[in-house]
Amino acid sequence: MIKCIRVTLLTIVLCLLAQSTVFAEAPYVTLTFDKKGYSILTQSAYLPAGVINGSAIPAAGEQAEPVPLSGPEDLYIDAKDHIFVADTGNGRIIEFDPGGKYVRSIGSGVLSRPTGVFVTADGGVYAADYGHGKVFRFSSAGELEKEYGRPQSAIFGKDQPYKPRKVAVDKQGQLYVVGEGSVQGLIQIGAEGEFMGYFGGNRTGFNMKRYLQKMFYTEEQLNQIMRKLPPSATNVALDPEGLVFTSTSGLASEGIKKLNVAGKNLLPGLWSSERIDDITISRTGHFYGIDAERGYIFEYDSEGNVLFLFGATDEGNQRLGLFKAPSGIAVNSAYSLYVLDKQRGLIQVLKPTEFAGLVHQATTLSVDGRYEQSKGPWEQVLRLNSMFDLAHTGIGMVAYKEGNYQTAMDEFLLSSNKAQYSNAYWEIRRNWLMENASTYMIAFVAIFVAWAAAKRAYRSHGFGTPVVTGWRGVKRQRFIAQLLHTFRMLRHPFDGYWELEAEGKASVWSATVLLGWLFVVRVFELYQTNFLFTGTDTININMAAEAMKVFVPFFAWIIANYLVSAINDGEGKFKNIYKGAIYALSPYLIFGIPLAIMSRGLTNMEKVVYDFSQQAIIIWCVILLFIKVKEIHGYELGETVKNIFLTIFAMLMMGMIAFILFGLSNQVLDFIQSIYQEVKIRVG
Amino acid sequence: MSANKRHLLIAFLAVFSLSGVVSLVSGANGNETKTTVQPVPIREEADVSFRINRFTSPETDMNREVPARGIPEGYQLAASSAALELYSDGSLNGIAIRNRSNGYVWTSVPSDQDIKESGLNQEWEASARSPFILEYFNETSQLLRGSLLSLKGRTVETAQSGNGIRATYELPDLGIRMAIEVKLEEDNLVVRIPNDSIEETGTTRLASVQPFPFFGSVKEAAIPGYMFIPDGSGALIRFQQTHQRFDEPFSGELYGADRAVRTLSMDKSLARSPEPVSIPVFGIVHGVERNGFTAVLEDGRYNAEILAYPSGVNTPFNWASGKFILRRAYFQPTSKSMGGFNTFQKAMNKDDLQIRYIFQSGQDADYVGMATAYRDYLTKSGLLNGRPQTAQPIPLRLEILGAEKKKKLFGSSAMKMTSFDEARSIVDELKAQGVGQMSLVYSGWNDGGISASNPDKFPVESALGGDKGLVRLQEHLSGLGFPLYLYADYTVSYGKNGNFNANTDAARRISNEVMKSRWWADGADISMDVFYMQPAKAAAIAKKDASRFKSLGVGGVAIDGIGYQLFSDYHGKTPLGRAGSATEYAALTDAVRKEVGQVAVYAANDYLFPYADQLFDIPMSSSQFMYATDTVPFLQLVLHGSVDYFAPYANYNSSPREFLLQMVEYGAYPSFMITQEPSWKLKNTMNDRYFTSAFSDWKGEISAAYQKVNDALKQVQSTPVRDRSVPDWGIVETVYENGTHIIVNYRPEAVTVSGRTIPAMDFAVWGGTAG
Repeated sequence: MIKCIRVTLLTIVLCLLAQSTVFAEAPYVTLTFDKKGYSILTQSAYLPAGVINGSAIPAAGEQAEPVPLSGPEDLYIDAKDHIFVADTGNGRIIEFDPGGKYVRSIGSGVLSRPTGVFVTADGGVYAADYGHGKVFRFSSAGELEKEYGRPQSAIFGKDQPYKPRKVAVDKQGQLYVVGEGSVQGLIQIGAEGEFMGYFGGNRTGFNMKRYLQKMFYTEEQLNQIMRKLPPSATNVALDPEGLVFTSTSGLASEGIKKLNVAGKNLLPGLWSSERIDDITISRTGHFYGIDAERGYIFEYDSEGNVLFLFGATDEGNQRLGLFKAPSGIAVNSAYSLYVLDKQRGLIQVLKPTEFAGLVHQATTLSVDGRYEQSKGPWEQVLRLNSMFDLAHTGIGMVAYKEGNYQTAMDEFLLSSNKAQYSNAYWEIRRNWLMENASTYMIAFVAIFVAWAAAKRAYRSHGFGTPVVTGWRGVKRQRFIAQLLHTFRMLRHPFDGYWELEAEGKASVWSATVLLGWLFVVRVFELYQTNFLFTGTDTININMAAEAMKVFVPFFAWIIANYLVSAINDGEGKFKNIYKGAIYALSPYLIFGIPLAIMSRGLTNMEKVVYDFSQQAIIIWCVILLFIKVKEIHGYELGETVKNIFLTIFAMLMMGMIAFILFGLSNQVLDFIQSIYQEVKIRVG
Repeated sequence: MSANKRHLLIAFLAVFSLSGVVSLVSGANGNETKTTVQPVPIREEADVSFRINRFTSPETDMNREVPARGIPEGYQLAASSAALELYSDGSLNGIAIRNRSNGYVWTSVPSDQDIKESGLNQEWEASARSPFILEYFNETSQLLRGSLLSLKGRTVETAQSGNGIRATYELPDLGIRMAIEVKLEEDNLVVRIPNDSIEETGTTRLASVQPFPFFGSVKEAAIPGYMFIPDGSGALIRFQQTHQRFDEPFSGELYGADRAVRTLSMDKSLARSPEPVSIPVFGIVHGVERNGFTAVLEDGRYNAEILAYPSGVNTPFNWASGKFILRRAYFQPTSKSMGGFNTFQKAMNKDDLQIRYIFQSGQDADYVGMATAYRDYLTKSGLLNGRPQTAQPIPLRLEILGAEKKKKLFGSSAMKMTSFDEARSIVDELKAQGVGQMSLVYSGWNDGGISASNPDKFPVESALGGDKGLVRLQEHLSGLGFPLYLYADYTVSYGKNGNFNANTDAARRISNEVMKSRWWADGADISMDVFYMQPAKAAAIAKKDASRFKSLGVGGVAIDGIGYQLFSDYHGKTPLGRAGSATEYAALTDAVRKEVGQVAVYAANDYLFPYADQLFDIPMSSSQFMYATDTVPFLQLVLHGSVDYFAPYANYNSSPREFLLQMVEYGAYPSFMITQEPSWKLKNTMNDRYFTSAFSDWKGEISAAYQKVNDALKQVQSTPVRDRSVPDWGIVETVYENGTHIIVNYRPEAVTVSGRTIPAMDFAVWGGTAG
């Protein structure tokens, strides 16, 4: 599931403006998203297929003049694909047949401002009437059967408002009512009108300020300011299994929730926009949400993967397929979408294209676990859009089930599906181990034995003496020894720093070489670490930026540290601070590359090994850095801690000054330029 | 999936069979084998999807009486020709045209009764009775609107001028004087506003003028008929008594917005811009196949809009007119943070303004007749060259992407998508599969790949085979008789180039900023500044390129950008208007063609029609505005038989079966965009929008689609369209000059037309050479 989406729509618009008519078939762009949340252009999933004209609806009674839809706010499609519209302004429910022809009006004279409509399998019509503050039930023949007024239960609360806006009814005849300002959740009402409780409420996010206020304010003060309530749901829908979906406006994530019987969200972290006003669910469990502000329509598969994002609002040019003020969305059995336009008083019909049909078929099969059957449709989808990540995952799943792990792994890599990639890799590694374990064990033992034998032979017979002396000679060379001093730092940090400072075991020259090595290790790590454990995408690596990330904090540290210790009785010379800082990173310099190599052999299951090693390296470096400050400056423990905090503070100050200088100079330049421009244009 | 097997019975469905798909047209599955035949009479419950304005609707109002109108009182004969008589009142506030062949009268002012009944407010009544509507900027840069009568103007002078009259008007309150000439040229009425007749003596500055706005206007549906608007391929607005509420008229800016003036807003909307307005034509029909006119904007069309008001927008009248822009408002930024002020263009656009009305009557008075009239007009004026076109069979446009720039550890390098040799074997394979004629377009052949460098192009990318590979490909294609077009864009420069320096060579906006935009690739950290080149600079570069192409033996260039992006350029002392840019681009295209041999142009506006051998990416739909009732292939009706034109890429269409039928209906040749390598390699590049292009995925489809379209269109290559009709929703019959009939059936069931059965989602061809 995609947790965050970097919708850089700006991009697309920019590029498309420059293009010719290549993709112009719908009045809006259709996007899908990759696992990382980047948008991918795709074929249109839905095309405008007509309008159900709301202007020619016969009035009830004897009136000859047709009464057009007036500010309709909800739309429902029943099991027979008939379309029901809550004609809010005219106080009636209108039924159309599947072809969009007017069938009948329900509830004229009874309803005041119906804002929600729901039809049960047996044809009972429920209308949430905001005007009367009631939910009405009509029989399939259109006669009023029951009214659900304000629940009388004490649990409901005396001051609690009861303003029903939307309603959904499950198979047992229980009502789920969206009430205005009902912050505890949906109002659940039994078939006979008894109050059953609240269902699936939203929670307010954690807020530091509120937390502090809670701690220090009096009850009275709290009552005054604690008006911030959790957002209440905007709409409700039921899926074919009877699970409740809600939409909420104003939530950055979880704008759409799928609730189980206990009211728990089954799709945590689902991404949508912040203005979802209506949701609808197809018979196969694909669900749709519509953004009333921007006219976006989101389509998800039943697991919450975003399949398509399309749709736009009409900014005045009145094109078919653009919406002025979409207030409702419903899907019929053929995946046709009906979008209610409140302001224009009409319903637009969008039909799925051949391409969307394939995606629907493939996702349905995949979710059902019928992988073999999903192979054909997924291959077709990939043929039509080879960047469709979900299809790569789909094909990967098929290959995985077929035992074709290498293909599966390649596909999962393409779609950046870490969990499945890990599984496929686990299988490949297991097979490899099964095949090669004995060979490698034998080889390993053989090498070990040979090494032991050689060592013994050297000790007893002087076998291979020239090699050993040669190696020792190399190690003794001054510069090599200085580089190898990093190893000594690992085991004897205190002595190491003493030798570094006083015995010349490290030079500025060797430190600089190691600084270069630091960057090499970083780059190696970036490119070679198993993609299961990295957050970065290699394609986005910018060498200059990476260099900045490594060198700027490093030099900021040594400069800040030098300045702080200079006024703090530190003994360290700048040269030694520089050398010391680099040698403090010895664990990383030595183990960074081996760790990256090792990560390639690990799967998600052994992630803990990787994480532990990485943290160990970091902690080790921090300890060495601490010792460095202590030893180089000759501090006591307390002074060291103080010095480190001051250094960090100084670094922050330096950052801030740089930021201000940069910002200011930009402002000044801009100011001068605008004066110049104004003078030039107005005078000249 | 039994449905799949049934699909296979029909050859073309085999190609596009997408098993078990909920097809675009509901109930498509399983109907193909039905032997029962649907009768043609209009079905009450015809699927809502055919009744929308993506299609043309059948004519149902043919027999309704067209109320005749006499010459308005007080009008005198001012001029006459063999076909027309021109009448006018003494002060040229209104004109009337009598068609001598059938006596039908057209007027520029609605009848008094219509005006009275329609309850117009004062302002609109004045507009309806005036010879022009004006927009102007007052002292505070406010844009205001008025007409001769509402602004208390008057006619100061009228005089005979040629075969017509000339009147000078004065608006004393605004300090503006202006003359209009009206004259007859054979069966044409010409309305002209000479630029030098416009005088501005006060502080008011003219912004736009619409001459005779209500000419041919119709109140609601008092007269049956429609207005034609050049939106994309073309669209109709039928006159309706009742319809939903519309808030805005159609206002199509010819050749799109001018980048030099208009700030293109970028918001997070997913909406696409409407279809382009690429020809300066509109028309009105009073009674289908009774009376009609085609209006062509001539001089001044480079800064013009075509307006069409459906009834219900401000007035109950349907009216259409040309609007000439003399000055534009714009935003003058004074700082980088987008501070600034609104102002308007200082100097007026220096063009004469002229509209030509061509009248039709009888059979010709419909959109087909309008298209024919416009084609004749273009041919006569040398704006459409009847070049020799491809002989049988029809050409397939195969666009091949060579290389693309791919980011590397340090910098970037060219990533091969299709080498020259691979292109050769692709062509051979398609030829072996029966593709008899091809236009091969090769993009991304330049140094570093398609988005690596422009306008610098050479050397030919070595990863693809370099000069030698290109020459081998050219020789191979020449042997087969297929043209090779190398892709070139002469609008933008990608950053700084050896040939191009942004400070001196880029066009400038009216606010003196360098004209540029930023292109991004989503997902990858890639972006670049692109600069718009001065048209003259572009022409100079094109000329250099052309001689290079020639020396390589390359015989064709496919020119992108300049066909559909037209801007003025305000660098230097004398700004270049859009008319100047268009001339520059026309000369560029002509020069390249003369040097190299053949030129193809992408999405061309009319100013490049005479210079192109082939037109690519022709619009295949209208914008589907809600007030438009029909989409018509007007552009195609004009161009068919005069120049080869190609549909956009078929492999990016979401409904391939319907698109194939549309190509047959519109007479457009098929196009595909192809690479040898899988298209996912283009992810994280500037061209990640090519999400399906692998040849291995498409070769079957390409040859099958080609065969299918060829079966129909090979009969009518180089043949203009004689007539087009819609017997019923979703069924279209096109008749060509050589007697060939092509009937396309979009419906999910078989239909019978004139005794011939056309299977579901299929077409039939007869007559002419087809027998």
